[in-house]
Amino acid sequence: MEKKDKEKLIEKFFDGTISSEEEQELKKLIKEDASVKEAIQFQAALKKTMHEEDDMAWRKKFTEYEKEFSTVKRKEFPLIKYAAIVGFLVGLLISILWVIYRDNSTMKLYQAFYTPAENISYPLTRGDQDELVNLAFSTYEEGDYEGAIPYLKQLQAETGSIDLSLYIGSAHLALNQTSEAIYNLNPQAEVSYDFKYRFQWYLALAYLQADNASEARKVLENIVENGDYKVSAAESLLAKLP
Amino acid sequence: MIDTQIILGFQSDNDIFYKSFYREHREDFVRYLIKVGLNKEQAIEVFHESILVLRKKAKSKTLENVSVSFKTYFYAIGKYKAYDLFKAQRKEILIIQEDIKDVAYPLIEDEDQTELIQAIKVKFKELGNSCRKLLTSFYLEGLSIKEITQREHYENENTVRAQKSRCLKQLKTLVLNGKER
Repeated sequence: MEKKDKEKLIEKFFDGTISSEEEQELKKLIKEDASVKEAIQFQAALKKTMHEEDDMAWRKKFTEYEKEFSTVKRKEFPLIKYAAIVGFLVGLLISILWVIYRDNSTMKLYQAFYTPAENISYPLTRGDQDELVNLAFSTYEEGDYEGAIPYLKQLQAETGSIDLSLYIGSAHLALNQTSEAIYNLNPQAEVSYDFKYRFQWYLALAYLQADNASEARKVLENIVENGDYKVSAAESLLAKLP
Repeated sequence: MIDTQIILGFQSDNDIFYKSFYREHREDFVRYLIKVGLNKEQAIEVFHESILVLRKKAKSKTLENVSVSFKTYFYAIGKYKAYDLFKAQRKEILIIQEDIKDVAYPLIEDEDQTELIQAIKVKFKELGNSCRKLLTSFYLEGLSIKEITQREHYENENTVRAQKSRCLKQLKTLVLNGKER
């Protein structure tokens, strides 16, 4: 077997596309050819090293997330132990204070500014429209977001349109599914120009829903500076951010 | 079946995705593990390790083949990790019930690679940016040569293969030179 073919076999082994016949062939080669064995051992060690380093880095991050999580929990319920001792009345008082605190939070701003993303992709008309388009957008426009998301995703899979992530993200926002919303509103590929700042606007709202005022601020500042959608709303929202 | 968006999230290094995921699932998951019998610290550790399993599964593209719901799958990982912990505490032989073995290992003999891994850890940092990026894309992110060609706008797949081969050779030389000193 030529060197190039051996390397291709090793590549398939590491990217997980090797067939069972090819794997048998590789097993045989490992026994017969010391250079193949050495190449696999070296690359396996490299892969293991990278995974170990990656795991370690993420464990550190998770420890930080945990600290944040515990701090937020403590902030949200600062007197919970006290409340258990002094009884229901103090507990009630804390709950009321907490509601007041939340009322002034980024969530309140999100609620004040959120309206579902307007359908500018497929204006619904009677008659000749594709059935899936009608189903997706009529469900969406009726406000049945839970029902609309699967149709929108199916439509996205069929058309390959990244722009549809705007409606999917907006629907997740309406359902308070923040991480899914943020994911969809942060598209990996380029969106159409008309959609660029619409995505940014809803991404800023998603950050508000996630109680992440600093990220929301960055996005809003970009809209104000460069955008052509909701510029004055972005200015007004920026002024109100905590 | 697990939602594609969740799989893509776990394949990425998106801090916001992971942070939101953490906040959404931390409380219920840890409470569940405490019910299984762990203490709070252990439950938090298992929560972290279970997220890492999801990340590895997403990168090796095996998360796509899961037929149960995401929550069922995630909680099953946590449960098995908790059982592993119980067994380790009782000093029994640790049986990894969750099948997270690396694809690379069944083929090669179980040789001690600790020294080699340590050397790679040090010498990898001495490689140039482009080599580090290319090797990371292939061995850590789990991208195929075709996917790397498209993402990084290489001329063709053979260019990537040649570059990867050069980078591996360079790393091997650095590791060997380090040993000789």
